[in-house]
Amino acid sequence: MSSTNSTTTTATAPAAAKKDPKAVAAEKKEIEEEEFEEFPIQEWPERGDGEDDEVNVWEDNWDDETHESEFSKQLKEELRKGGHQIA
Amino acid sequence: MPSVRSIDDYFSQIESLCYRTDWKSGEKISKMVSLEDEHSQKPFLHIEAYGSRSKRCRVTNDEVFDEIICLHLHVLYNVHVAQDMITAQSTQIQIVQLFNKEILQKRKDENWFLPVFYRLCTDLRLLSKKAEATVSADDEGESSTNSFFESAAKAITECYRTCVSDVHAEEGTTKKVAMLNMTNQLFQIYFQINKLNLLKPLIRAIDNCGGLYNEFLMADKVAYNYFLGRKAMFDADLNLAEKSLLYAFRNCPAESMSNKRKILIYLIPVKMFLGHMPTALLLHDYRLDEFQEVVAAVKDGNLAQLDGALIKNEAFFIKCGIFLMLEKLRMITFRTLFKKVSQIVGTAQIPLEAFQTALRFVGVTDVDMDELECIIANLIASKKIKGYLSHQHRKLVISKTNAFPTLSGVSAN
Repeated sequence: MSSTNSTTTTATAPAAAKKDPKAVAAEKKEIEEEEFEEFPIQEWPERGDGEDDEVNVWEDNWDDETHESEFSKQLKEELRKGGHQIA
Repeated sequence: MPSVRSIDDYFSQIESLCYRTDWKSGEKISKMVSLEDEHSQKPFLHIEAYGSRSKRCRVTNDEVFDEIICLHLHVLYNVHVAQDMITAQSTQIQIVQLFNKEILQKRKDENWFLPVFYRLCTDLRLLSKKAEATVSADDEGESSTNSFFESAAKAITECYRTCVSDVHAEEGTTKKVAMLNMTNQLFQIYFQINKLNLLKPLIRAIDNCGGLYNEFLMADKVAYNYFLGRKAMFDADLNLAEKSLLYAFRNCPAESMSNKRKILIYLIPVKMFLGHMPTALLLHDYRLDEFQEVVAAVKDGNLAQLDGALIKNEAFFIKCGIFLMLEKLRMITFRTLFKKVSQIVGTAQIPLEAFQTALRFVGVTDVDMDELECIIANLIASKKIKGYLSHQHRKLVISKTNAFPTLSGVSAN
């Protein structure tokens, strides 16, 4: 037993109508997540080089080992065990 | 804008905005034709073929906008009632084509309606994606793959041509200013269907647009630099990638947290490859903790940890399209490991066997002597190590000064 109304909907609507609303919502969310979102405003002052909000978020001196890391200590030990010359 | 109460109200609000013909009104109308706006949820606006009714509301002062609005209601009907994304998409194409033919091509010396046009193109993109999803879920056949994106790109490209040829209008009213927004629309479509090569002429046009660049909206400039940076990363042009993504990150408003996060997803691998490591705090603040272990491993020269971290977060990195880029970090991880070995050994001549020991220690067991020499030769060629290989003595001979220059000082390419 089905009402006329629901019959017409099923007859005219293609596959998308069969999807359950949860899946549709999840799909919508995924599309939105992927997209670069639109900005609520279109215009604001431009910033030049060096006018960053976030400074010091990039480390350049991670490479100069002022203190020996745990990993380096283990590596040294391993090389010693391997019979290599250690400074 | 007050919320829409009825269909009469909806038409009369648009009508009064159409009288003003200024950019601000254009922005307001853009909301009234948006599929994301509140009005799109109102059932009294979900009307099939409203334009063919004899008795109906009208935008009396502007026939073209009247037709566009009727078609928009038809789209709303198909999205919300019939759930027929294919018809919704083709109707949206009709709207964009109509806009091109009757407004962009015919209305000279005015451009106040461009915000409306931007919105129509954005919605066309989103509808194409949804239409594509219904078809690909339906049949596995590859027959019509991407046809919705293709038809959307075609319609937008036609509009692009109209706008760039508008050379007679004065600075404030030229439609050429739409160039960047449309380039961004096409950028997003071509990313979807993997046809980034088609963007070349569009990018060149932006590069050569001169003073017009200053007229573009910041929203479009930030988005453009984000897309350009992503493309440059895929093209392995790391300097352009860094420059563009940094611009986007710096100029993206702090309120748009999710966009800043998206920019960082590409900026981080590029920066790392150039020797600048993101701080743990940055990663944490932007919910990018997937990168924490990758960063730690690269900093230590710990290849096993790097491989493990990549595998652990593989799905995330692949979804973002940066997995291959992150794999390239193995190269600088080798460099850092070898630097540590050199420091521990402490001489200018380092037996390759010592590197082998170190590699085994970090869980790399599939690199034989030939491959090791090959890796080192590549590091020397890319100026990451100053020295030479003595194949005969099975040794790496390094420069007495600065044998492992800081990565940020070495040119990327």
